[in-house]
Amino acid sequence: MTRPTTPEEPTPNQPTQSLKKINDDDWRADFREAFRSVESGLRRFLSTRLAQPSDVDDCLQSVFLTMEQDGQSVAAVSRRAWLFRVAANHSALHWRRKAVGEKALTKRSSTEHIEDDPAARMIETETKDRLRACIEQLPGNYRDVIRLRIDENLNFEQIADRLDIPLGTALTWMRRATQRLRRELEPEQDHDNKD
Amino acid sequence: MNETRNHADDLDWDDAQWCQLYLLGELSPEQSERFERRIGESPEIAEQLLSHSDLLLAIAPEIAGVSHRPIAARNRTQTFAMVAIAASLMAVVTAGWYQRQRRSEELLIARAWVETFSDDPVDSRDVVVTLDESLVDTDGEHFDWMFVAVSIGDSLVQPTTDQRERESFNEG
Repeated sequence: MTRPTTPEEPTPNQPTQSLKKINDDDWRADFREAFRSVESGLRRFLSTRLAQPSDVDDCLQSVFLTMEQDGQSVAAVSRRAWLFRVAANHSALHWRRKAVGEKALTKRSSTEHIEDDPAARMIETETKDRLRACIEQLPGNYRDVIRLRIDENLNFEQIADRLDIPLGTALTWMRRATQRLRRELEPEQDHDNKD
Repeated sequence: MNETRNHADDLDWDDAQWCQLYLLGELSPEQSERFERRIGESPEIAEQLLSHSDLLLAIAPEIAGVSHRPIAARNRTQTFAMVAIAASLMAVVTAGWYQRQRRSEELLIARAWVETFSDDPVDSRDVVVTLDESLVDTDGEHFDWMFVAVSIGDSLVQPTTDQRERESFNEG
């Protein structure tokens, strides 16, 4: 894949950088590292959705560009997840373009249809409300693990040390917590399948 | 990424756990490579990975928004705020008492109110108070100490616009 050129590196002769610019460089560098760490996984993920290797390459490049343009607001802990969601959106956009003709969709971003749809926004809001309520109702130990992992970005070994529990217990609590939250996002699934 | 995790640890992981740890960057390079091979070989795993991605993207901002201050710490903060309010009130009332020598009753009421919030004796000198003179009715017979207390309490408890902006900036 041919990656787009990176933004110009600052030179000593340039005017003093603003704090914002420095922060921009920080998140870009971190996000590129996240991209690099899952690039192989993204490629394989896209290969399950796109038949041609050249289409996989195109989508991967689109993911990289989307990351460069829109990635700043993504929390560090969810960057990898975000990359896979963007990859899925771009692969879907690829097929839509094939189906209805590229011209009509050229200017539409992969997420634009969601942002423009009031019903989708309403559903998203309701889902967030349900999710927030579900988080509050989680047992305290589950909530602690999920908060330490996602909000404080500790790895599971650090979480186990912090809570003085075995590593396996930390992993199990995280898995059970996310299982419960997942059911909130997927109400059509079988809710009788208790933890 | 956790480089020290032993391969034996992953023997009993289910697909959901693999997806979760992969997205969180907690797999060793060897484990990541194995899992990525599975992604390419199994559309079901790929779909499950996407599902977990969506879950993580949904949870992350909600978790960040959930108050996670320990209850004990929150109570301590609230207690401190109340003691600060009470001490401020006492400072105000004491100042009025010294000025007018007629407010012994209000002072006693205020001191009793202060002591309901703390076992420790509260000295009016403990808290520096910028008193809004307009709150004190120096001409009237009645010193509305409760009104003053509520007004000072609001200013102590509610963050200023600058504080809110700083907190918002830090959270962002």
